Amino acid sequence: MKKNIYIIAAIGLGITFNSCNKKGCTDPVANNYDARAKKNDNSCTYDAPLPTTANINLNLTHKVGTENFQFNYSYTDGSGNEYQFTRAQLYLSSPVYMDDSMNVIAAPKEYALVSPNTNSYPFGTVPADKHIHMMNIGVGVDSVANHSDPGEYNTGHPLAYQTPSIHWNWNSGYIFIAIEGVVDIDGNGTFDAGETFLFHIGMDALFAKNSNLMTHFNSVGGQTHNLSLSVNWGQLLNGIDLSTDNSTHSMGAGFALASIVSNNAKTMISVQ
Amino acid sequence: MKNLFLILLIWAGVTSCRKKENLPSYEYKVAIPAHFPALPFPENNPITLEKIKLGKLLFEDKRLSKNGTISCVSCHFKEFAMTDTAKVSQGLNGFTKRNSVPLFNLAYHPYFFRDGGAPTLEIQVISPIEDHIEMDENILIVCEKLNNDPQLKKLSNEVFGTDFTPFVVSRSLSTFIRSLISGSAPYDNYLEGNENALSAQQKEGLALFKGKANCISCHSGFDFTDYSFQNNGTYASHSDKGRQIITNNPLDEGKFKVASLRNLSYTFPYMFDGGFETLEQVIEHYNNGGAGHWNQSDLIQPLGLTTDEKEALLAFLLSLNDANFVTK
Ligand code: HEC
Ligand code: HEC
Repeated sequence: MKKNIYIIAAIGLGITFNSCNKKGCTDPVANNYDARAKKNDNSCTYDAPLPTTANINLNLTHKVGTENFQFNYSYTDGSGNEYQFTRAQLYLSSPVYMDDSMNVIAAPKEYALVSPNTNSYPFGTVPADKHIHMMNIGVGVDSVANHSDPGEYNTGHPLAYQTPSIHWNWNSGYIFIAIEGVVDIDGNGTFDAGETFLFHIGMDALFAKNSNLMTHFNSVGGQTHNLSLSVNWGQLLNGIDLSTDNSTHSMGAGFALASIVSNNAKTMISVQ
Repeated sequence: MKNLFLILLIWAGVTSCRKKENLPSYEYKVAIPAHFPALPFPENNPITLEKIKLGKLLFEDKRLSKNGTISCVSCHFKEFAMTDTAKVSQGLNGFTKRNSVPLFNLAYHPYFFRDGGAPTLEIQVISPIEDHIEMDENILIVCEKLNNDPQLKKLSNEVFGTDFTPFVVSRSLSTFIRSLISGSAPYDNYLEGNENALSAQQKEGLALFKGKANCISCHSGFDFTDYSFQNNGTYASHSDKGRQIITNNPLDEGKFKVASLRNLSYTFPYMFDGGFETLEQVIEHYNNGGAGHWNQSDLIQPLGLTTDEKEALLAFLLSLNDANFVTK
């Protein structure tokens, strides 16, 4: 009995001290590879895997024509009417990124509810190690999300219910563009009571794609890329005489005016 | 023996813990007549008794409106089958564009409003709150107000596990409305086998409804609507474009969702603008073949009903009144 125990102990010692069987990390690509180790003891350590996506951040400059955007500041429309913005909001969504060969680089759907008070908006990810030659971006919300239920998004999500409301109650859908303000209709130098404009643009058909924005950057895993874009709010009113055409909810007879604004929105975003 | 006691103790601990954490999740079976289809509901909004009760409280709560003067009940009264008696309803900022609608058997509707602008009840119930004319309040502010009421806030947490959010308001209001079922009119009694539930005149009216008067080509099924959008020629022309507002399709001009014909004695006046005060006027309208709107359905044709036939048709329509629904 005692003999057996000795034998077992001896074998044990033998194993421990046998240099031919040195334990350690045997994986050559590990940080702590030990060339002398013969037996892997699960001690290998590796660098964290390289991120496979890069983050996109929209870095927006808000303009009215060549001037910087300011609320309650007078601008002049194409017909010489003086006007000021009191509300300006729009959705940017549906980024489509393309490489040099114009192949679409798959990226997740994103939504940002944009207003001139804020310049920076996280805008999802693109795959790492791509050359992002150019992109398209939508003003509005794609037709699937447009008819989804705002109640199902968590507070803080751009598509959740908002204050002020940016979801219609007569027709299920989001207001893609909401601009409101005052306009000196009679040209007497003051914004009299009732001299207002309101454009609420929405409905699937009025989704406004801005195409072929030359972005030119290489996506690096784990890095955040700032996309510097200019948002020209004044462009929305291009060709509109605010003294006569100053209100639309996109419904019924207002659809025609809303279509003009939507068409203008297709060229309101440019690369800075 | 001791061990068993210990196990029991642990088990009790586990279950009481569960009771606190698990929200009521059992489905509540809303009573529906045998000849109604199973009550549909969205997967993510199962019907529970707690939700119905919370929804009813919110339906009656004036804090849903901006200045605290209007609740859903202001335009949807129980005694009028959940509509009101006005042509168009007084909201917080003036009058609604359209005649208020009764709220029953809506669980079966594929879309809401007369023009189908809302695809689900969950989305629809927030609309009157945010509508400038009706209640003119932002839903997030409504939630704030409700959360300032400790008792109500506690209830929200018991039912949904959170304070009030748009989700809580939408899910409870819609579940309450989904639970409103009307199906115990004399006609339902007749369908269930009671031959005497309809008079001879009403049976004649039923035959006309399906035959000569051809009402059934639009008002079909257990709820007397096929839910389609139709222009029934109420006027030769009118400014409310109906379904066209939603689709922008000129061929949808003046089309509205086919209305249920249950509870007509309580839901006057009739049509999208409340233009008809009485059922006699409605029957006369159809008998004349409509007012001849350019987009009027071909199904609306002069009927040539005799006075007796018109009376029989009216008598049949009255057999669809569900007195239980407006009193209980
Ligand atoms: C000021 C009056 C008014 C108030 C307040 C009001 N409603 Fe209504 N409701 C209406 C009118 C009018 C309609 C029909 C509108 C249409 O079809 O375009 C309607 C339609 C509806 C419908 C659609 C039914 C169908 O057949 O499609 C539902 C559901 C509804 N209301 C629920 C509510 C709820 C819930 C509230 C409270 C949050 C509420 N209403 C508050 C006037 C009102
Ligand atoms: C072409 C389809 C069609 C036919 C056929 C038709 N209706 Fe209608 N009916 C409608 C539509 C659509 C409405 C809703 C109109 C609106 O909202 O203004 C309606 C509304 C009504 C209403 C008013 C309900 C309410 O609460 O306002 C009554 C009553 C009615 N119909 C009775 C009849 C009778 C009786 C017949 C047969 C003589 C008939 N209808 C044939 C399409 C039809």
